[in-house]
Amino acid sequence: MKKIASYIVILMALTLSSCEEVIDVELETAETRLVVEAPILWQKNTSGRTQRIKLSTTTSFFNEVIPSVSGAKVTVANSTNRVFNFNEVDIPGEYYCSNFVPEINETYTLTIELNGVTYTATEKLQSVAPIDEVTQDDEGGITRDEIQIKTFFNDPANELNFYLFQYAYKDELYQNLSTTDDDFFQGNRFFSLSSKDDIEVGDEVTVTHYGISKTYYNYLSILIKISGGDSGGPFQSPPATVRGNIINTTNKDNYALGYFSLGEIDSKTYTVQ
Amino acid sequence: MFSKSVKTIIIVLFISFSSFAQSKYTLSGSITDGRSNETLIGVNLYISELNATVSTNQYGFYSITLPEGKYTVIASYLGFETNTKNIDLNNNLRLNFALLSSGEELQEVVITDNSKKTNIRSTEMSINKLSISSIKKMPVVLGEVDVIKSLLLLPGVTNAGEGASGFNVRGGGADQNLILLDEATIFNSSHVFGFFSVFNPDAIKDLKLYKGGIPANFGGRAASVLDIYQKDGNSKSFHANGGIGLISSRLLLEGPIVKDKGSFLIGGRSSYAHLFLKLSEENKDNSAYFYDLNAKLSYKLNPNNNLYFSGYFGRDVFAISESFSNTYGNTTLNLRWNHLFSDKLFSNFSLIYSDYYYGLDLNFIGFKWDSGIKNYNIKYDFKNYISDNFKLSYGVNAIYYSFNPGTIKPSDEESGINPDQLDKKYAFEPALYISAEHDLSEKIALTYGLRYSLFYRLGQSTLNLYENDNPVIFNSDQQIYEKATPIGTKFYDKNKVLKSFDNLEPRLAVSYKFNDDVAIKASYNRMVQYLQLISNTSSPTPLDIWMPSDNYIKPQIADQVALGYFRNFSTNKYSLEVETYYKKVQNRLDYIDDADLIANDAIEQVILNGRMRSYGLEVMLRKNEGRLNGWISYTLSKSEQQTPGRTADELGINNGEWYRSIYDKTHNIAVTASYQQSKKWTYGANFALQTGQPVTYPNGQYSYLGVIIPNYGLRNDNRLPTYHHLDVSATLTPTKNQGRNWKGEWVFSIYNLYNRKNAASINFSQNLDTGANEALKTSIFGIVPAVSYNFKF
Repeated sequence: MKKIASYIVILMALTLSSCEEVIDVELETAETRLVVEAPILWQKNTSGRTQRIKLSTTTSFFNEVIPSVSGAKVTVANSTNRVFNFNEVDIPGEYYCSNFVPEINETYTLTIELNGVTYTATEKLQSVAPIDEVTQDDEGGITRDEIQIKTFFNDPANELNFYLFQYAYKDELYQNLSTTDDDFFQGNRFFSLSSKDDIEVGDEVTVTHYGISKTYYNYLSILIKISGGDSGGPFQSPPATVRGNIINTTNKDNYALGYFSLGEIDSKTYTVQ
Repeated sequence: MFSKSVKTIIIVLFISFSSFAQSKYTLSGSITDGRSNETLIGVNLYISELNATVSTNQYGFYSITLPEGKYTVIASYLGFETNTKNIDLNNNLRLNFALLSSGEELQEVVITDNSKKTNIRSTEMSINKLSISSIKKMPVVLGEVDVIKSLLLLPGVTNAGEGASGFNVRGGGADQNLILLDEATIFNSSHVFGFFSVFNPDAIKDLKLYKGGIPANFGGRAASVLDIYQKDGNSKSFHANGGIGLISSRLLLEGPIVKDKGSFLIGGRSSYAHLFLKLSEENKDNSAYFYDLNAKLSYKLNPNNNLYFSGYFGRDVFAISESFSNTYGNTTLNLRWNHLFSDKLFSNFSLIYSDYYYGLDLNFIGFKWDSGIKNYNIKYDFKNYISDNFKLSYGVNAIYYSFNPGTIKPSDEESGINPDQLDKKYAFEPALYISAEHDLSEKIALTYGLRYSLFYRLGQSTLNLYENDNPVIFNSDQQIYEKATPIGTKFYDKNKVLKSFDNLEPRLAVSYKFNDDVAIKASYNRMVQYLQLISNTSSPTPLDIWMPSDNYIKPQIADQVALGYFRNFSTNKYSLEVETYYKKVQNRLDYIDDADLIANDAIEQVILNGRMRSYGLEVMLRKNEGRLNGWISYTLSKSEQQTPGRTADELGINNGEWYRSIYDKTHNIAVTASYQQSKKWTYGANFALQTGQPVTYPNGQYSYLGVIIPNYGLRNDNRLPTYHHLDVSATLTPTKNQGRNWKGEWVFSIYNLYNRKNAASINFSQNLDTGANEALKTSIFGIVPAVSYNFKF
């Protein structure tokens, strides 16, 4: 449903005789915070043993480099207290585990120790409905002149499900991320979609459907909206810091950003025809 | 408290009644335009022997009771020749005036704008009147005469910038304005998301904006009342007028049904910019247009009874190929009956219906969406002209509301969307009021009144129940507000009361006249708003929904005090108005971070009750006469809101501190002038400058899932760049018009003469081609030249 708002914005952009230009704006920079990017992803029909967690920090908005954070002790434990260690191997700020054991509905706890400060987060591993078909429509998008990819799945009946849909276009920075709950298609066959006007026959698109928790859904919905970066137009709502589920147990006020999430994913790579 | 106030009123009434023992007679009547029989609102009638004045009400009626004697009665009104009559008042006398418009026949055009002269005697303050003729002379974007945009030139009135809908009065939200068209509530005053307003200028007779000192007959909104009256129609002869512009054309027809007794008026306006869309290959399947229709029938049954039937219908339509379409607009209908019980007792009875509809058809996702609000209003108002120094107004009204927050229908059988109906809501809002205009002495005048308003949230409805009645919970680990999960629901049958409220709303205004040119005035009003517009954007969008106050949403209560200094100079050539105000609003809704408001069936889970305060200084210097007239206005103001945590552990919004509301504009300067060079050419110019809109800029960035995320600090801590523009216009009235029936005029205008690219928004994001972060400014209008042609016959 959140999509409606963005369609309205698109609509207005089409209607207005508006003009855009890149300008210089002086921005203040708030004090640096730890950013935890800890999505545990379990591709259907794989073991899910190899997992990665990234640590970085915030930086000033126009800075071209995102600073990574090295030297942290990163572990994930399941409900029976089995501990999986994540180790920094080659790339600074990237911590890997090669013996992870994913289990649907199992509860896991992330612990990060860094410079004497402890951060924790707890989440359940979510399932996702498998992708059953990918279709292409050459008269897609609102304007009917874009190549639109639709990916179908069967929403499980009688339970609340939350989804993250990702369309990654090969060799491009652009990716289409969207979230939804199943309020309006509970138990039905439904789809995700992405359309783009400058793709050609032979281009590859990787579609990934993520099963996510309700709280992660709330978090991602805000994050996606904010990544668009609108500020202060007549139809914009005020953006805010997006707080995730990482808690600084040493000092609550010095909170970290990011999220610890666990979920099944189903992914298909589609070649445009 | 109630009984005490009533007692005071009764005592005051008693004093007033007892004061007229000598033989007095009532002079009453109506004042009309002699050419059309159109009643004139706010005409000043001056009785020179007594230095007494009375003005006509919104139906052109006046009444004044004077001691027996011989008097000179002078009626004067903007754009009309002054009419003087000598009377011998030895009986109750009905005296009608038919004023003849000046201007057109006069060789030397000297505009004398009596209504603009600051009224020194009356207690009215914080009120701006604009005549439709002066609105029509102002330069406007794309040549579309716009009633709402003209308000922005007044002190204390701002909006969110170009293309933004609504207006903000004294630091209040657009939802806090009561907009009335012939007494019917208009819920959305804009076309095309705010580029144009819904009011067809040809169909409008008069408008008045109350920013403070709001009389007791109005209620229901916290900040202001915009009272707009449609023309009645010409009951003498048939006439038409219209205009052809770049965006829209309009035509209005009026004439007698029964000569001098009954008249009709019908006006239509439609945009045709979408026709140009069809011309381009890219946009041929798209359309965007609006239209509206105004209609009115007036009938004078006899000197004591008048009937009016009027209506408005407007729609905006957008469609993008077959995949998306969007329709919205207002409808109003009303029937009014004016009845004179006696020369001193005027009454008006109204039956009013109004609705707002919003529809969306998202074919490419597979569903249709309908929402709206309907209301039925019954109203009976009385004005009793008891003596020349005491007038009493009183009345009752009751409104029944029906809200549809959303109906979802799958667009076809293959759609994967399930049909749904968000819980419909119903409410009933009765009110009664009494108000007195009381001249205590030659120098002191008082207006005091009391409104008693009630509000019932009615079934049939299902109420969500929460633990501790708390629909929003604070997650102290993450320090964020979250939606609570209902622990159950309670069903209320049709017309069962879910929740009720009642409030006393005192209103008081006082003026002290130092001499004929200088007065100071003060006012206090309490306004209660039971309907809330659910919106967290800086200007309303067409799909915002209205919600009644209920178990979780409290009514907004606004208290405002204002103090003013009013002065006329150089025998009324210039006038100066200086006002200062302080306003506080309880229970102003605030939204938790990233509240999703669209299709949300449980709005209570994302809102917190906060408060708001605003204060400011307004200065307006006006030149009322001569070839050159106009005004300069300046406003210095502040508007803030605060939503503290409900308990000591909670953070509140923005750490619970006072923060700038999105309506906070420190400086606001407006200059408008028109210069009549000759009978042929009139020039107009506007300049507007306001402090940039409060916004939130990022104070850092980070990367998540391969996406750059701007990180934001406190709300509204930054501002867009200062907003300003200069507009000019020239109106050509061909001299051959003289003596002809067909009168035409050309209006040439340039909006934003120096092509200032005012920022509508600044977008902070990653450029997906270069990978670098950038700030992207969007501006809507550069320099916009336009021409339009207006005619009448």
